[in-house]
Amino acid sequence: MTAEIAGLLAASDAAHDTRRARRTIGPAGIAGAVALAVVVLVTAAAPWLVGDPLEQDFLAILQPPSPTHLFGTDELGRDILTRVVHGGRSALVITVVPGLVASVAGLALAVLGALLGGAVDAIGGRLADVQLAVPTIVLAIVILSFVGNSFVPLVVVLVLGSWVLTFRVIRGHARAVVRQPYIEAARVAGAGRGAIAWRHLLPSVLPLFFVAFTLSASAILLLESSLGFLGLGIQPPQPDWGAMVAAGQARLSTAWWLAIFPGLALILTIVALQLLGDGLAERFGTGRAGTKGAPR
Amino acid sequence: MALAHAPARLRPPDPAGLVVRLRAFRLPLSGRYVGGRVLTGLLAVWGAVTLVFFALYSTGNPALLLVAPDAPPEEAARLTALMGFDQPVPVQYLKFLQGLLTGSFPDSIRYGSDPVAVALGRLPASLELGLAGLTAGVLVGGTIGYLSATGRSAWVRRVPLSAAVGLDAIPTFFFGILATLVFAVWLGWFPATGGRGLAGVVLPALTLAVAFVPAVARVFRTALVDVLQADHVRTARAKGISHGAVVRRHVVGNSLGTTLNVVGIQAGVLLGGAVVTESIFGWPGIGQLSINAVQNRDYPLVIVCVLVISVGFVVINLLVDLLAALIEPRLRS
Repeated sequence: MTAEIAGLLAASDAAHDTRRARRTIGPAGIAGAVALAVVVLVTAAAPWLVGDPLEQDFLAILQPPSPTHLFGTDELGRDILTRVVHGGRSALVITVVPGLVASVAGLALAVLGALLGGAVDAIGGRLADVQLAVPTIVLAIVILSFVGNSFVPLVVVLVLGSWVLTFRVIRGHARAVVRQPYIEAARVAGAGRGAIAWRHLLPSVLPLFFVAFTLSASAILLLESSLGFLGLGIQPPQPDWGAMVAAGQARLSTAWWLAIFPGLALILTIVALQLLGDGLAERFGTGRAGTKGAPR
Repeated sequence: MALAHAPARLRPPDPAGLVVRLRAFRLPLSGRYVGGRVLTGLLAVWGAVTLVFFALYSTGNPALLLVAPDAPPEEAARLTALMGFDQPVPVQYLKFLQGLLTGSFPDSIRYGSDPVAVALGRLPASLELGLAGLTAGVLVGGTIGYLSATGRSAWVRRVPLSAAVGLDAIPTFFFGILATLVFAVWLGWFPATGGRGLAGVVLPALTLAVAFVPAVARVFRTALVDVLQADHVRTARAKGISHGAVVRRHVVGNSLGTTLNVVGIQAGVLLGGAVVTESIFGWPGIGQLSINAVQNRDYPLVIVCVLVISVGFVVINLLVDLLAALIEPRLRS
């Protein structure tokens, strides 16, 4: 029941939003897109831009930020800037892979439910309710402690913790679309269910899919970095933003740069994703539905 | 039943007013509604238990996980037979459920004692932090939502709400680190690791609150804006009641039900945030205990922690649902 109420609230939120769908993603959306592009380009070019994230220099341990080490160095003399940039690579991979899986799964369940109705729709809705009833952190502790915290279990946890977001955003729209006359017309014209889904329903929910994917990615990054902070994410010595913040916490009073720069990189990426997602959402005329109660 | 709500002059004479008073004492929620909610909660706990079982099962012989690594092989064999791990899966599952219901768990590997006692011993600290965080979050989020819906100037309406929405992008753990750096290390106002007493609880409570301040602010604002456009508010304004009095008397109360419900949905966020917050500040609660148990591979304790957290989650959700339904009869569907 609670899930339905959240959906209703989101819908009424959108209804009271006097701003109509715009033709661009707006200045904030563009800023988010640019920031995200910068993050992606810098992390993609990491091997050419910065050195080896594991290289140690015992003559320069715990150096504060300076022209030679812009973000300072850690207790093994590793350059923080290098580690932050390389940490972005794993962060993007661990965000995009589960983000795609979760969004496609949510899209498939929502479209199938809307098209077939009845039991399929009910099962999808019930699954979403069950998912929301199990706290993501409990899921993470169970799976990552018993199955182990390698790449695949981590992706499974992140997918389980985020697919509902896409499902809920797309389900509402898809259910409205299948009642449109043009779908009925296609059916009368003899189009099969597959053709209706592929040619008529999918194109209409595709913009929403990108909105949901972007917002899922920001939620996943939040969740992944929290797991990294708790020591449940990507294992050291590979740099991971959440784990770097955790490692820097012990030296907060003497070497604040250890924890602060990875955290700022994290915030920059999350803000970029959220601004882009909100911009896309306004461009395609949907509220920020379903992001409330996103896992973190 | 309907008589209790009928105008006084239609009621049968009841000089002592006894019948009316007795009827007023009846629970305002139907047994059917409460029963349904409780049943849903039990289903969720059952789901968590089943999840734990299959995660354990997927590791091969769970008995090997549940005894200390240096225990003699007979101990593992004893536990295998005791919990039925050598039997078919359905039997194992039933035995596992039976073990949970009777509260018989293998001893915690780290503490060498009953994991239930260890976990329950940490519960008061978690409750203290949870209540403090919830209070802080509702106060801050509620104030921001209130200002953004009823503020007279665009600045008052927009700036606090933007700040709250911006909080959405800051992970709980990093907010905790930032707050520690600024208020504990640089300014020295509060202790860095959550000590006891009022000063020690401020930073952990604020950190915990960050996760749901944006949601509370947004939902409360939406609810207030909804009610502000209602007919009875226009009537009240037309009568000449001042803006402040209209909001206080006719708007806020009507907005609480829906807001409370969304606060309930945030219970999961609160729990996740509690695990992180307890880890940052070394708060001796169940969240920190469960993360330590995972790191020590203390699987009996992990299972108990997961169960306690799941039950806590369900209980919070149940209480919030019932409270919201008490305040807002329209939600009793």
